[in-house]
Amino acid sequence: MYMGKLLIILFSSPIQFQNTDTAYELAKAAIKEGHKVSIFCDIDSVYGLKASQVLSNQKTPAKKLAELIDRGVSVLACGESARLRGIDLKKESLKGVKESSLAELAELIEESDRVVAFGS
Amino acid sequence: MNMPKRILLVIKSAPYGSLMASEGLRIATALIAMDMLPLLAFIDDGVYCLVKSHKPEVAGLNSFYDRLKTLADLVGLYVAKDSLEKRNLRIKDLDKTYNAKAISLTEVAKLIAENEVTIAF
Repeated sequence: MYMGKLLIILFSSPIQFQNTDTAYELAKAAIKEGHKVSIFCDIDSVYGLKASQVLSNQKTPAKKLAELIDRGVSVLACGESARLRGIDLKKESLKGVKESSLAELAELIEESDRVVAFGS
Repeated sequence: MNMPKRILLVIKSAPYGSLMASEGLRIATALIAMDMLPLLAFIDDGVYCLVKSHKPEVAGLNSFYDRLKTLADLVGLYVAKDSLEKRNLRIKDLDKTYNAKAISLTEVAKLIAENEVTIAF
């Protein structure tokens, strides 16, 4: 059985918008079906990678993304977006996040079977 | 060698007030740098990106004129007639140097159907 490659692109900030939560549910469903999932965080969505988020009584977007990384999802961050926002990915982001670029995003778009973008 | 994937970038956000439109143009540039030639269609408030005589520097904002002009030269731009009409804009209100091709919403839908990937900004 052919397993597909799903690319999810996030643009919006993780708290004001709920796209990271939707991406989490979509990624979980895709993994369950055996597909390979990548999530590319661009512009304000890189805030979702900050490990220090705190939300009482619920999972933070960062915890959701960390769970996906543990389950084999490749989570990438636009390095330029992070630098512009003063986020040091090496020090502040979740373990397992890969610093990336729009050039790599172009490659991912090319090699993925489906691309879903959230944030506008 | 496989043909590059057919990609449509739909710019539907206004040029200022959010980064979405300019991020769409940045991603278009990255795709071109990787030898992928996306199509660019402007709909809804995105059509304001193409209006002539922008002066973003007056509000302390960066201009994306040069990037947009380069994209127009390299891949061409489409603009939805319906979105222009709803905003009381005409083709003559758009910057001529972009040479945007006005198309109907049906044609926009056809572009979406014909391309393997559509990303909206």
